[in-house]
Amino acid sequence: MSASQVISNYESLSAITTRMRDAAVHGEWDTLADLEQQCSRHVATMKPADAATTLDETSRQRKIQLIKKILADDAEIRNHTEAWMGQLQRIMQSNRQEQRLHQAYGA
Amino acid sequence: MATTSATSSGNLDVNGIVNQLMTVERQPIAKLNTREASYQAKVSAYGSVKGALAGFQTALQGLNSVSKYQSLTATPSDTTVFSASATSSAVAGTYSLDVTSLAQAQKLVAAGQTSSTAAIGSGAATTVTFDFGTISGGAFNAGTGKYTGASYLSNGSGTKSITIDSSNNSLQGISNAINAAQLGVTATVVNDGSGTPYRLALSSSNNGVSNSLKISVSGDAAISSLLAHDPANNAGQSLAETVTAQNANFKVNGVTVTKTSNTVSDVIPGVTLNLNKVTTSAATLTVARDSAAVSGSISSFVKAYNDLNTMLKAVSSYDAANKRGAILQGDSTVRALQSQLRSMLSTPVTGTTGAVTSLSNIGVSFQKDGTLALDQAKLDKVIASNFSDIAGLFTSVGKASDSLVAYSSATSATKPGSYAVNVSSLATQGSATGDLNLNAPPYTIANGTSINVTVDGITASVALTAGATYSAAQLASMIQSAINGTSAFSSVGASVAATITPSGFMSITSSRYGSASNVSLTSSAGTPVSAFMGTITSGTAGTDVAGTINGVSATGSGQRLVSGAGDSTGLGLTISGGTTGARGTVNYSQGYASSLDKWATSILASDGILANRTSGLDKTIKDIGNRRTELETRLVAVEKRYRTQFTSLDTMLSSMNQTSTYLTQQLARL
Repeated sequence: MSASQVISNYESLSAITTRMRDAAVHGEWDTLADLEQQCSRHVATMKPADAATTLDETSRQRKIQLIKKILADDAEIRNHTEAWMGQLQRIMQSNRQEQRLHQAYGA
Repeated sequence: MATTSATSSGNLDVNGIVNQLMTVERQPIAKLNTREASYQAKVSAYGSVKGALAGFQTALQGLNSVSKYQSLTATPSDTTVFSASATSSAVAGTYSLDVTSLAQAQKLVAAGQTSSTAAIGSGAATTVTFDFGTISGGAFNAGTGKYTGASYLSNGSGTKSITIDSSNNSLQGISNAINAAQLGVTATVVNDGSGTPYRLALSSSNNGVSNSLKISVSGDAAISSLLAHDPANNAGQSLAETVTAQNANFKVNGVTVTKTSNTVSDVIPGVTLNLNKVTTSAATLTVARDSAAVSGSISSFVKAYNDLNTMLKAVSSYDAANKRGAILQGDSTVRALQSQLRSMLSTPVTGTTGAVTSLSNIGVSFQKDGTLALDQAKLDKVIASNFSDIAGLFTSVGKASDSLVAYSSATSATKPGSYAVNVSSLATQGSATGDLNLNAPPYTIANGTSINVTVDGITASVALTAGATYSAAQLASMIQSAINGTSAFSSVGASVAATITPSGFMSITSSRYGSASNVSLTSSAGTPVSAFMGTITSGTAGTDVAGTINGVSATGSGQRLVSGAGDSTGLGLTISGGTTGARGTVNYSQGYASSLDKWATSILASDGILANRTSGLDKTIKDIGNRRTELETRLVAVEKRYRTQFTSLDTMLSSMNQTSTYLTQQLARL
């Protein structure tokens, strides 16, 4: 497999994780999950070429750049997921307060 | 809602989060449940109110009777001489009583037989007929137990028969047949120890001289010679009289009274006497107002009200001890009931002629806490001074100013008040009067004579007793007895009186009054009806009373006149005689027990205030149930959506971890 094909694989992967990041930013959790499945299938297909192909310096730098970009997207996706979880936590806490009020004063 | 288990990769506690989210989503349902419980508590509290009201009404119904408030006691000075009881119609006072003889029943005994079980006679079907009447004149031989030259007159209450045949023609069989037929005669077989020891002993069930027996036998000669017994026939007395029928003779306040029974209820008004013993010196009967019974009834009334009041308070007031409101605190329905009750009890009774018109008049008054209390001393004074008026304070009472006009009934539509009574025509009885002069006896009734008689619309065949020597009076007595003894009439309470008019005509009158009362006779077998009635066999029907109550035409049925319109609607009077024209007034009043009973009925009715209130609550509870079902259905979808989202997120994060690990490794190799 040629070096250009490897870089092309990483560029495609980066394109998916960018869309995943956008979905996470907008709270489109179903879209995010669908994209993630595309993402993991893509990783699985590109793994053999990754190991067998030797890259020239230009391609190596490009690959480093792309992986860093993908990991940055990954981090941002997790940030949004955690934020959402935090939000859930707050809903539940406020609900527990409401329950306590309810128990104290009745209907 | 069922919580399904979801697998977790460890990134998220899916079950925990979904469960907590669902608790949030279920908040409206919890609120609905709380509201539902509070409505159900109210329904339950109304149920308690209903129960308390029903209990109050039951207590009132027990107190809604005139006799409860007019009880009298009848106390004998010597209980071995007599016992006595008094009804509310008795008059308080003291009566002297001298008993010179007690009523006793006639006893007869038949000739001795060698066996109590051997057949007597041929066993041919034989009719034995029993009649009851008075033996008079002639001489009685105590040695033989027989009369000579006496006469016998049936008392007209009816003859009764048994049939003796081969199945029961022994002494014991005859005895059993007599007892089984419940004729008013008791039979026993006694053993006198002689050569022919078995003797049939007969005893009239009723005391008094008018219940002496006459027995006619038609059929087997041996049965006839054993039982046929006619006190008026010197030779026709098969039985020996061992005890002569006797009346009770006594004096009440010096006035001589003769009765056929030792139980006497028509001598002293409202008092029933049971005579036990002949007196040597006068005994005394004291009839007094039963103040304990009256006080007891009034106390029961006060208690019934207080019990209800306590219950209403319990469900509707603030509970200071537990510092919380009762379930129906401030409830308008309960408040309405309380104020209606109080208002009814504070309003004087109208329509009564008496001086007692309010509870406070008899010492029953409201206390500061809303309960009623009874001032016994005040009540005792009223019992002594206005005894007969107390009943009107609690019960429905109708008092007529005319003694032959009696209040008989009222309905819930009858309003208290004073109503004028005017009678335009009195009720009459149906009767048939013949046109054949019967002043030339003797008269003959042939063997096997039966006639068809209609009394008050009921027709039956009546067998007449054959005879060749009837006087007009005896004929009337026999016919009356034969008709009244016919079960088709006696079983429905129909009866007649047969008399001979001053002109000598047979007259048969129904005991019933009104348009349904009638008498007619037709020939059937043997002597024709024309032999004692002449050409008139069908009588004139009776007429119903007619008149007005409260100036409005009323409906007459027999002697009963019922108001059909106006305030007096439903007021029923019995006009038992008197003249036509204005007949005074009837004062109808509804006492507290009576009006509260009606009030409770209206409150407890299926369209009453309590039913309306609870059906409103029941509807609300049903609406809550429907809303809860809707919410539950929606929650199923909500939970499903959350669960799917969480599960896919969980899977996604796990997968992302693998990807990032791989990429990090690739980066490290570069």
